[in-house]
Amino acid sequence: MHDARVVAARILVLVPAGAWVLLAPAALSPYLLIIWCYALIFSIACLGLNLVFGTTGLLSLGHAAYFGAGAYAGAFLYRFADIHSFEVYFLVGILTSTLLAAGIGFLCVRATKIHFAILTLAFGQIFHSLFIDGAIFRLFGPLGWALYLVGEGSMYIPRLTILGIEFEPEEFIPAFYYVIVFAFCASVFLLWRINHSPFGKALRAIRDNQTRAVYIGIPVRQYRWYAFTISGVFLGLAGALYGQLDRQITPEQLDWLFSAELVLATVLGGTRDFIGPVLGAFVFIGLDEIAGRWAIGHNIMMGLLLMLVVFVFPRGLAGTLDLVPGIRKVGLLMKRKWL
Amino acid sequence: MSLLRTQKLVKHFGDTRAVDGVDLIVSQGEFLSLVGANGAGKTTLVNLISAYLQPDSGHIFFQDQDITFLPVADRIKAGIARSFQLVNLFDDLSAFDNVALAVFSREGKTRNLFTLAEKDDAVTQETLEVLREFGIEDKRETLAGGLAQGERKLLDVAVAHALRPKLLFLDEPTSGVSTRDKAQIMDTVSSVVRAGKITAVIIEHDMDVVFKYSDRIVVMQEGSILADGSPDEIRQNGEVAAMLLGAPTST
Repeated sequence: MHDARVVAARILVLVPAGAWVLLAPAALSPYLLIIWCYALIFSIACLGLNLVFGTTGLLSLGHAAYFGAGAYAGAFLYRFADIHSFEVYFLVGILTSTLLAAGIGFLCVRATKIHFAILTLAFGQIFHSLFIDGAIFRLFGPLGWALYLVGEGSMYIPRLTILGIEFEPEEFIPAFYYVIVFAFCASVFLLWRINHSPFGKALRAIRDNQTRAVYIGIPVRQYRWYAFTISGVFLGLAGALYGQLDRQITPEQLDWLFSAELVLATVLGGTRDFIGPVLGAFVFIGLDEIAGRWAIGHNIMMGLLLMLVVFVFPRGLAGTLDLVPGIRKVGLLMKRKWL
Repeated sequence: MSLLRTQKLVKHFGDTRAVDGVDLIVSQGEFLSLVGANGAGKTTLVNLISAYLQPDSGHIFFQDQDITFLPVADRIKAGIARSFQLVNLFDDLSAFDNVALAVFSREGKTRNLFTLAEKDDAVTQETLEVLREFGIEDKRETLAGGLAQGERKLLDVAVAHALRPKLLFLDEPTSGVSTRDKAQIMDTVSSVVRAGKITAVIIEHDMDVVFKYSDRIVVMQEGSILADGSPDEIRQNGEVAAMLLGAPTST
């Protein structure tokens, strides 16, 4: 039987969170709802990245590739197979990013530390260049090449049917919001389970001490590869959601700068706390919105805001918040029996 | 009956003959100490047997199977485990998790993606039992990095022991700890090893420890075996005693 305080802590956190999640489409303006959706998607991507980065201890600078692959795969599918189902688009996006991550990860996990980071960056940029110079589009013949010339690598994705339902334009985002929330909750649940499974513990062991991990019989390279591939699943999932939300995918989402944003947001939130990447993603998106109010000097303002956050939260958002007694207590009660 | 046998094992680092044609036999159930001055080749020999290094030539037989070129994972499965000269733990994980990981790994359960580690009662019970055997059960929630040196040494051995090895190598388990902790560590390790009928090979510099706990002592010098015998035989070997204990040569 649960301790009454544990139940109270969960109610205190989960009830308002659940109410907010359900009511957000009614409470937020259409613009803010889209930003909120984007923050949820970005959170999934950061959580996925953190399985490799924070949990396994490998810094990837090429995860944008898997995010972009998740969106582009569905875009090509729509163009060339005339598929209008979001579910098919979504699954194809995840499958593509998973295969891509498995292939690139197989090679990258042969290196560690800075060499691993450089390899992931190199593969990511190669993948990016295939879209920038149109090589991928050429694979689809003259129509593919024409698409490239028209969009310079960008692709349009229409509003797809969700569970066979075709939504009106004004209804689409509120409806799609619940798909994103479902994907977010499922991702958090699955990644949380992985993090607290024997496999997740083995990944942390690899991060902490590779030699000892080998000497208790953990197949280090193989598990790094598994972690990389699983990470690709969630990046592809996030990418596919992003493609449908934005209804356009551009090579920008494949560029290393986007990979760097993922890393930055994850570090901002805290790589050692499971919830850190989610906090980081939300704060990052929030800061970007604030900085966006300055038409000139947006990047300077974003840089200054990030510096401010880093100075105020040197242990990452999750790590610093954990020092606040009230929050720490609620956090510990939330974790009891769950972690 | 021999559990482990090396045959003309050689490892050179440039011009240095770290291990130079060593023929070592380790019998089932014995507590063997490898002693010798720094650079005598003790750790290199253990590194070769545990696949941390590959030999230049020679063979290693474990239970009469040639394991010379077996990878680490297969040697662990065969029943060889080791601890390290410098404590080698997962410092950001709790003492409990350090041991539990070894148990999960031995049981082939680290592939489980979606089962919660804490829900595995069998692993939890075994882990607590191992921690209890080593007298550090009350530290189970403490991060390994936050333990005292003596406790870290014990945990290091406990992790290796949790693999349930047939042959356990302990590389200087008492280095860097106080005299009082040394006795406690060795009493604990010795009782666990003997109770489990585990064959143990220990590298140690403290000759009081060596003479007190060993069934047999192998003395190494410049990569070769200089002497091999019971503690009494080694004590009575004047040349060896002089080298190890600084005692005058009796012959």
